Amino acid sequence: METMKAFWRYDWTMNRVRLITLAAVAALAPWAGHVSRAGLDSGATWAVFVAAFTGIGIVVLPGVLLGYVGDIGRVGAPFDFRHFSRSLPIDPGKWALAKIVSAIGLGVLVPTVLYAVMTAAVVFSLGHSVSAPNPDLMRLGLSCLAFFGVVAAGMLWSMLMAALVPFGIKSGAGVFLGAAVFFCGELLVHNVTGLRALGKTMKIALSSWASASEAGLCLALAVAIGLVFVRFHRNRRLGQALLLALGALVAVDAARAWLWWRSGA
Amino acid sequence: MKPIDTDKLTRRFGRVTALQEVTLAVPEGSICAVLGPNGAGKTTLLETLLNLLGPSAGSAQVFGCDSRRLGPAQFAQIGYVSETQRVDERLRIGELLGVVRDLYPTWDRALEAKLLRTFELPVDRRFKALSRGMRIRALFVAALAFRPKLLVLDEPFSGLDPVMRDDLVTTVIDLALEDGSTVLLSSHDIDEVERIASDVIFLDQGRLVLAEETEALRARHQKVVARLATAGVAANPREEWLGFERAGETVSFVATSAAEETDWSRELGGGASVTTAPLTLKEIYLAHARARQGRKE
Repeated sequence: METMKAFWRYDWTMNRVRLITLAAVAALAPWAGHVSRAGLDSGATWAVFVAAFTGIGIVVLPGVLLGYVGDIGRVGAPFDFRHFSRSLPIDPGKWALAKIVSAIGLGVLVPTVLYAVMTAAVVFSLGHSVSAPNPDLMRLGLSCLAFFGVVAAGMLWSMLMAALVPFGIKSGAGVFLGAAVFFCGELLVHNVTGLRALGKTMKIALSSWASASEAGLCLALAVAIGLVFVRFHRNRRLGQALLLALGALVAVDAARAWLWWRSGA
Repeated sequence: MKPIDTDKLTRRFGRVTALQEVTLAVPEGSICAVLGPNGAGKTTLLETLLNLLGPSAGSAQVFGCDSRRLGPAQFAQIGYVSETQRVDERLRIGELLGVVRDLYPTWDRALEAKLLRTFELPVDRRFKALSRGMRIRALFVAALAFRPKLLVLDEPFSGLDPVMRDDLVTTVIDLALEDGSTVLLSSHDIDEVERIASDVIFLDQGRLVLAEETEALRARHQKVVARLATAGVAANPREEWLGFERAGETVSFVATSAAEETDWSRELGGGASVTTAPLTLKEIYLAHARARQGRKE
């Protein structure tokens, strides 16, 4: 447990500003949304600023989150062998587990819960309706779970990519590549190949079954990535094998794209 | 049980072999200096011993444990300071100590306070605002305050001013002697470690040149200058005579297996007038390094 406590102490010391920003933006977003909508309806100028704050928050949130998971994913990972933590008496597996708990708990769960609670507070205290694709509470819950699963799996994948980046390359490269690959893959799986298709998909009300299976798949994926992440911290050879496998996948995909382009040309 | 024991330890980076079949043992309680020029493999050796890098072949034992399996129990006894160690720039000195303190059962708060005072470190200052000297001293506090049984130092004094360097060396050596710790110290500055090292390891291009007690090493190395009575001996210098040179009737070389009772006059042919002189660690190292270079050419 000392290992995990040491990581959390380090994490809070290093990332408290990011974590407080995440929580604050998530908690304020529903209120800002409500206030700006009310203000815009009444034609008030200040409402534009509140709306801008909401918009910036939505843009900033993923950036802060990715920066956070990129940083903690990298520190003390086997390829980050010159980080001071690598010579400390810590259990590498528990160090990795503490990172996962932080990324999922503080990075995703706390902001999501705060957002949900504040949205509920806006609805119940102000009697304001929320435009949700699934008005049914059961389906709404499952949709939230599916969303949480996707984000959790995406964050863990990005964290793994940041940890796999060889020493000497900034972790940002790994985390943004990881996030891009994961979320592009996620969109392609759902047949989203353009903005119009994305808009359409956002409006589709998934059935309970579809939401549940989506949530289940994503959570299983998150668990699988988490296990690989922990294993990698115990055994750097796995990291080398993963890098090779990823390199091979990229090469195959590039070859496929080139062949496709050639046949089109 | 020796704190460090390696067997044909090899580490490659692609096609480059940074460490080649290094077999050595570091005696308990010794202050062992790893010497060699830049690129000799000193940092790779230390990083491989601490499992920061995996060996490509061979093995290393640290406190009897395979380096690849070093865990919290072993690291709780090892203090490590390196010029290449990465510390997050936003971290304050006090915060760094706060993170590491509870991980060591043997952490000595009084010693931590004493070291902070001795090194004049401001605990609330971030690493990005520290000079190189302060940064190293802060890392030393984290590596010394738990009284490690093994202290591994990778070029920790290079680039420091002489006063600071002397203070650090004195503190480290005093603590090591007080606790009976083993110190493994890498440096390319041989003069710096000459006065403190009880044992030395010479590395050159990833290969072990020699590993020996400093006193024994000094005792068996002599600078020999002789005026020969007969010229024949100059044609067949022995292999253990390094840097053999002849100018007229005068020959000079470094004897590597000399003994106090060696009769150089007889060794070089009767009638030679011989003078011998002891060598510094630096001169011994240079003689070996040049001889290796000469063999390659």
